[in-house]
Amino acid sequence: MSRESARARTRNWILVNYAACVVVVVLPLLAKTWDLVALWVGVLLGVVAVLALSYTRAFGRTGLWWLTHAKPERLDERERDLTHTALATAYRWMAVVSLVAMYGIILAHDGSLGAWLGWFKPMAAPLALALIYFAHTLPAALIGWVELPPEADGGWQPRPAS
Amino acid sequence: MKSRQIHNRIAVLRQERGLSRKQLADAIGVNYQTVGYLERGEYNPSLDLAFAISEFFQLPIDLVFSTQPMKPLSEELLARRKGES
Repeated sequence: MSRESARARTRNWILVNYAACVVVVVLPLLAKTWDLVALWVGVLLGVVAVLALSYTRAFGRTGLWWLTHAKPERLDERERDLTHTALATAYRWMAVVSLVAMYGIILAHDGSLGAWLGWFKPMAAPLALALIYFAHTLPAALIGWVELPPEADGGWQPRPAS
Repeated sequence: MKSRQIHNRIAVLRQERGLSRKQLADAIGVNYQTVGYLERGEYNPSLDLAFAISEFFQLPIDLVFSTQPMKPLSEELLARRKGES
């Protein structure tokens, strides 16, 4: 497998993972609309399983989670450059997305606007959880999406602690 | 300002000395994967790292790194020897 193929595979797992997140956020709204509790619980369990599997494949096995959560003293100059750029970009996006989401949640619970934004309420709690998850994984996702991995058959590996 | 690619002879010098990437990485204090990125020209080292690599190989820095694509090392050494004599 080439490095380009390895990156394409990581990109696919990132897409699956984030798509599963979106489904988890939207599911309460669908469950409320079509009142089939047993079905939606089953769907939720399935989506959470997909979320866990894709997380392992996208961030665990590739070493991306390690790379973006290692202490700076464990990283060499290239790894620090890479992670700092990814963190800066990720948190720039997260700041805007989080504020927009927070504003949407506030408006949905607002007395006068709640009438036509009230449909948003069932998604408020899972959306907040999803934002926490995105904040945790977005730097790793950016690196995995943009960068070619170090080797075709391996991911980002930590140096042994000195 | 977009940085230009820095060419290097790290792969050649490492193989001449029979070193693995890990051995070289341990000697200069980086992850072995960073040695791979350096050898492929996908990462420009800092000045400090460039000097550390040159000092490890006991060569002048301009024999190890260049802003232009590098000639074979044997040509370079022959040219220097002719220049000295």
